[in-house]
Amino acid sequence: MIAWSDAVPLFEMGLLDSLALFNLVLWIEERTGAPIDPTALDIAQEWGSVRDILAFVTARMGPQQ
Amino acid sequence: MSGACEIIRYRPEYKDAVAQLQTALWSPDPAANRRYFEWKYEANPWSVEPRIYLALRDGRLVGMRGCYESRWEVGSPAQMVSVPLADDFVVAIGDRKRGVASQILRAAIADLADSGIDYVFSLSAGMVTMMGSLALGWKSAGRVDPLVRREPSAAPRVRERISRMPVLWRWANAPILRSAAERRPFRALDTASSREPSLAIAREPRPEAMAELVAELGHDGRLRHVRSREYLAWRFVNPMHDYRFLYATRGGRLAGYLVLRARDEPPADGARLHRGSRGLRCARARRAVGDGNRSRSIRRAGGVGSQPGAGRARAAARPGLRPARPRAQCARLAVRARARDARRSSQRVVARRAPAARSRELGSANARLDGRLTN
Repeated sequence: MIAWSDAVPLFEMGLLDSLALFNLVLWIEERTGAPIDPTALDIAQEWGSVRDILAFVTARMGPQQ
Repeated sequence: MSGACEIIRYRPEYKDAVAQLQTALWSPDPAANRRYFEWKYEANPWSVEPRIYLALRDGRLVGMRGCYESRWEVGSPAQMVSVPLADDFVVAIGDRKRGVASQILRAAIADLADSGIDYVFSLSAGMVTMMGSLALGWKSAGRVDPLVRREPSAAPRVRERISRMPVLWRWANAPILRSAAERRPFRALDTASSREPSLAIAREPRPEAMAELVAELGHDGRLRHVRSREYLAWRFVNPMHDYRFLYATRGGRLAGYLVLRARDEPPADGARLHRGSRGLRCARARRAVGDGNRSRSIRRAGGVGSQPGAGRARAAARPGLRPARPRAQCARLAVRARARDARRSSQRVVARRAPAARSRELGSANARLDGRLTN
């Protein structure tokens, strides 16, 4: 059983596969209105958990949004 | 059913199973896949032994990741480095979404690291595979922007419309929906003869002369394939592809060459310039692409594409080569991985063999690699 939390390592636990990651990138692009170049990121580090992804989105959009 | 697989190194008794598995990626014809496998992994001039990882579930082959050997030169004076190229990743259709992909990718990298390999390149990742690679710690080392030159034709639009129709979408890529140039992109080229005596059209590579020309031209230190006679002789006998060669000569010596490859991905849309082509530096070869009066055959081909560096991209634009798609959608990337980081991986390959040749010299050249890939 996985102890769910925002810090669960998504890739190491196999919770996010390549297709899901691809869809997630598209979804975040759509919701934020800003294109994402995944090759410019260290995906494994910067998107390693839900908390990391939220921090990434917050940093891109600014805290007021 | 458990999602766990056994990951092993390739053994010859699996060749037929690999040819069958690869009907999902290479060709629907297992015999053609077998020939391709033998060319790519067994006839490879740089190969020590095939570095192929297989995923087995209950003894059944359900996945594969291949790494074929490549040799590169970088810097001035050139430094030679050997790097495995990760490719040919496929999981059996019925076994997808069960973690096989992650297992085999992790195991392959871990085994390469244990074999003393510091870096692995991937030059052919589609967008989804690239995402998976990035999630496993791969880094992007550059983008390859393909160029195409297409003959105006209604066929692609017809296919696009049919692909959206109920029931009929199944036949959207049927051969009958391809234009004549798409079906046989070299037809006009094969029936034409160049009006310029110093320009020859051929079906066979001239590896000796090509290698001599490459050595004579030198290079600027960017990372590129070692284009030796052995490499060129192997590179252009890929049984999956159909090539034509344009040779420009000056004083009886080869002065430039251009390699065209018929695109075989459905829907076929013509021919493309091979990324290793040197000929765009040759004015005559360049004219041959763009000047229908001198070489109407190429002009009439369904289209040509290329993956050139910036200089050659500018040269290619003159005869009408344009980016195939917006940069953001370019799926073919060059990616490298620091394989030794993967040694912590818990996924291991069963029946590991003796360590292979090391390629640590790339580490010292690493600073020169970023953003300096060349074709």
